[in-house]
Amino acid sequence: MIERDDPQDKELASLYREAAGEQPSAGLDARILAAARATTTPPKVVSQSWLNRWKIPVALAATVLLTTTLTLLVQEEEAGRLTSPDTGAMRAPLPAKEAASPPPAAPAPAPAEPPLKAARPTTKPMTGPAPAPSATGSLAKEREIPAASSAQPVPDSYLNLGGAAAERKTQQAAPAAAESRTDALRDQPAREKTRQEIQAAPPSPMAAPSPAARSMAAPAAKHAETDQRSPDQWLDDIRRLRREGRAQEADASLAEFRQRYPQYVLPDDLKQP
Amino acid sequence: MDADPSDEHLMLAWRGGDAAAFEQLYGRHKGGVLRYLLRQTGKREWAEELFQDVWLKVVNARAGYEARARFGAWLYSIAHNRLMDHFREHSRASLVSYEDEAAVIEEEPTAAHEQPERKLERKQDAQVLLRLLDALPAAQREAFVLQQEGELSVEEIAAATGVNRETAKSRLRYALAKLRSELTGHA
Repeated sequence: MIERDDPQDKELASLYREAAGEQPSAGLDARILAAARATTTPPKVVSQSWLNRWKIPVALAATVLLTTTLTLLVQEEEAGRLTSPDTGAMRAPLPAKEAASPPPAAPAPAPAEPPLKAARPTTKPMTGPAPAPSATGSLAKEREIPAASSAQPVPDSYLNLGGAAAERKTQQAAPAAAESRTDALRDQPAREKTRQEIQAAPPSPMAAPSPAARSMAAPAAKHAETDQRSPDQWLDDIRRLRREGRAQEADASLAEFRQRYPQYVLPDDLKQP
Repeated sequence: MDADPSDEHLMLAWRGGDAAAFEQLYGRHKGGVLRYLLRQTGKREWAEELFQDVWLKVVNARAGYEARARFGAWLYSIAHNRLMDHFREHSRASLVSYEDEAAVIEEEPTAAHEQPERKLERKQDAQVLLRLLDALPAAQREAFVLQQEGELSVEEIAAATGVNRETAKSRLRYALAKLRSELTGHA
């Protein structure tokens, strides 16, 4: 502020105020005021729409859901493969299950024979003349419904065969099952006889249990290993059984082979019993 | 806020976020700053360029402003410094004219009240005054304009221009005497 003792000339000051009237342009004012407002205006908070606010969480949730669904589907598919007959997972327990039923006097052969016979009684007719006609019919049906031929229910492993083939087999199993049960009933006396023969076998075969029991137990063990063998190896085993005179076991194994590989073209030496 | 708040009040209010306070402050001083720069540069183009720079410096200094001195004195010291930078960049001659004032200032000007009084025709005399003002040495002209436009005291003129009080006082006194003398001579 101008001090009282400062040099001054009021007349000149008045004259100067009349003369000097320049003002800044409107554009200049606007620029400066805008710059000043920019320093005081708080940053505008952009309100996000609901979609913008939630798009990331929704995307994450969708990703997690998709991943979980795919994982579950893959696991179910794997489980389905495990329960198929190719894996033999269901096949292995059968001998153990049947092992509990036969009498303890003939533990080794009993588990091997009856399950095979019970599961596929149609193999029995291959060894005897009487059941031949039924064998023929059963054999014909065996190709269609290999597992649905006994009083026992159709193994789940067959029902789990993939796709339409399994469905067709299931649908055909119902009427054929009844017919197979009839065959089973007809063959039952034969099976009983076989069981009795085995039970009544002289002690010597049983006295030398080690090699015989081992050979009898071998099919049981091999039964569990069936799915591990290649088709050629399996057929070789069947040939070996026949060479050893174990025709029934050979036939049972052959029937099982046919069930496992219905499309497999058998060699000539195995086509005939 | 008061009906007519002081410049310092407005500046502090603006520092606190009141944008309207700056607009009021700007409105008070925009003409004076422009005319000061116009008188010293002689060109409207330069004056507006420097004018913008000066106010942007004020804007940028908002956060750190403290009312240590009168706002007007602070404002015009910014303007003076920017002016000096301009002279260094564009016109060494103008800068020389400031320095050459030292010998002239030491002269004791004739007191204004000793001049014969004359009746001044306002409109013509105003225009003559502006021409006479332009003819003054830059330092003297600056002292006169700072007093007229910024209402700065001699002390404040000295602080704004970076000289001691006596030098500022001499410059102002000489300017007033010169103008009065010349104006009277044109009457």
